[in-house]
Amino acid sequence: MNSTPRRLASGTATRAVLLLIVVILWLMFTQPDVLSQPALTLSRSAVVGIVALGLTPLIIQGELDLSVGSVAAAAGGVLVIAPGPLPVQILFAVLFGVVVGLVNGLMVTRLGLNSFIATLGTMIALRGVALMFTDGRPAVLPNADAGILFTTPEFLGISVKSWIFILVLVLVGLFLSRTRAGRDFFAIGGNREAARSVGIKVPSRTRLAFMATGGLAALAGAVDSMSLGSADPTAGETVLLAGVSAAVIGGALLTGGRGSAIGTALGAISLAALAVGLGFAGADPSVQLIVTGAVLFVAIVTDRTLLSSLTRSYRRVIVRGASRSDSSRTSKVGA
Amino acid sequence: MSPTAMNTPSDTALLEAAEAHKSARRAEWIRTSGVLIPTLVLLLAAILFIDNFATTSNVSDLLTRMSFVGFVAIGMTFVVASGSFVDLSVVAQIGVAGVTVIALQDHGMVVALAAGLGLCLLFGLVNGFAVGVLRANAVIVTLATTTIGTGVLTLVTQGSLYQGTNEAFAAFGKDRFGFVPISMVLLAAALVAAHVLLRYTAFGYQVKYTGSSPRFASVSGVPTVRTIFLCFILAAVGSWGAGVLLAGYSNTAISSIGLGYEFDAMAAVVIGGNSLFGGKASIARTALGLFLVTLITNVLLLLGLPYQVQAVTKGLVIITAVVIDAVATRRSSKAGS
Repeated sequence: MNSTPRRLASGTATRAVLLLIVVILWLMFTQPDVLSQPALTLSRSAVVGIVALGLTPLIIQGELDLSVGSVAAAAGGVLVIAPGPLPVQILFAVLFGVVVGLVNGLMVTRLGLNSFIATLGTMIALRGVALMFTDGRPAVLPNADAGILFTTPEFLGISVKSWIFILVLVLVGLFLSRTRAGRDFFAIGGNREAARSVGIKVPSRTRLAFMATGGLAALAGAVDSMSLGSADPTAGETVLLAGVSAAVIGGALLTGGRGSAIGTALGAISLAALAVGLGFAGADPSVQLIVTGAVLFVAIVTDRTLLSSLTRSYRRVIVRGASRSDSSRTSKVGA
Repeated sequence: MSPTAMNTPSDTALLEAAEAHKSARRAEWIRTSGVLIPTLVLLLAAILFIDNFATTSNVSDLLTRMSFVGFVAIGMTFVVASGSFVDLSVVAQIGVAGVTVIALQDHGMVVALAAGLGLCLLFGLVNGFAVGVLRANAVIVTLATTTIGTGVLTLVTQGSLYQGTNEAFAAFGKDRFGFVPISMVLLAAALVAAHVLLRYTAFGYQVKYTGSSPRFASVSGVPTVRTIFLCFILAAVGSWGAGVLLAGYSNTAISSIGLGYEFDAMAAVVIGGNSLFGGKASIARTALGLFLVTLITNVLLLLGLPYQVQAVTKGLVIITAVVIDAVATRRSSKAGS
């Protein structure tokens, strides 16, 4: 029962570590230059990493926010239209994300909506909002000069952007493992009814998670726009995909109850290393999309619970030869 | 609810049952009027206040656009009804179908059509396998497959625009009976066929049963895995049809032609009053929603509003429909149905 492969497979961050090893091996043989500049990869992983770290607490609760990409894009737009110096603008952007998160959270907790469906709606609406903020095209930030600081190495050879990523990683990690609220998140994702019956205020915890997700997605969008010096209203599409990929590879279980900040961060870093390597190799930009999509697909179908349910149903099929009363499908579709 | 467990119905039980029935009826009313009233109001307002609305060319445009979204929405209805939320990979499938039917015309129309259908079915198989057999989340699976598909298509075509060479196909794509485009005639036939399939056949019951409760469906002998598989296959066929008609209409194709159709189709399904929680679905409702969505798009276009306003409006309409669905579902579940 406790064989080594099984224990390995049950480790939350195992798949992220595996992917990182595979990517490093691939880079060693084809693009060794990438490995000599880890700061570049770290910087590249920052935006997706922050989004993914925001998604992690929510996924642990068994919910998902599909609007993170649109929130990130719209947050870039907020930087274009918000008044005041850069820090105030960033505050506005994050606040915007938190409000969107609250709306998502209310739709889920008050109306009992499935989070996939509720956030699909906000995703579409906010895509339009992002275009409205920037007048339908990439717009230069009023404080573009201050934002450039974000990509230049500042401290210990690591860019501000990466420091924000590391800070978010530490905060989310500590929150999930060291606070009462963080542990509640796991309890809710593991068994909502049980969590409710032991007195956890599930709706308010869910709203908190949505607000954190929205706020961090907005922060990521702001960081991205600042390092580019402009806000691209269509930037959000790949952010969602990469963010969810990073979290899922990092061991976050979409049905809830499992996930870790460090796993998610490793997932984001592996994806970034892959992207940088593909860039160095001169691959077509669409190759990067294909690889990210493929990684997400593999990550979601190699989930331990999914695989064990598959072997279970496979065994059933064999058993059914004798008594064909049982069926292979027992649990709910999807999340 | 087995007969042996039931006591003789007392007065209170009867009253409760009557109350439950009333509540369920109210939920149904919310669902239906939630789409019918806005449609009629908008239609009336458009006819009265928008000069170019009630013209042959505009109605023809509206119906053409409606037919493209419609084919996707039919497949989407089955996917949603079976409890899988959404098939986002229709974007890639429409792109693949459109590009192959135009780019491979020199090898003969049969090859061009079959190649596209084959590739779309491949999407359906992969989605069906991941969602049906592996029970992975449909939203994430189809997000992954649409990204992979669009990526490969962009890589192969290098983003180039293909121009059709087959004149018969181009003529067919633009053909109309009076002001009714041929694609609309095909859609009408497809809607009727799909309605019968979902409402009156064993497969239709299996789809809805799987969507409302996969566990109970499975226990009562419904082949749930096969049902989910077939729903994704139907979505693939629908997307293929939409892609072919879309390419035929303009006689050109580019890898990104499918963009936005997933949301319009999704909107048609939800706005029509189909439950996103699976189980409750009807093609007639989808057709209603389809008309409203297309009407909204058309009106926004005629009003000359910028794209971003259209996007926000559509998003808000979807959210409203989703909220109505949630309220209606709550009422009917309170009613114990």
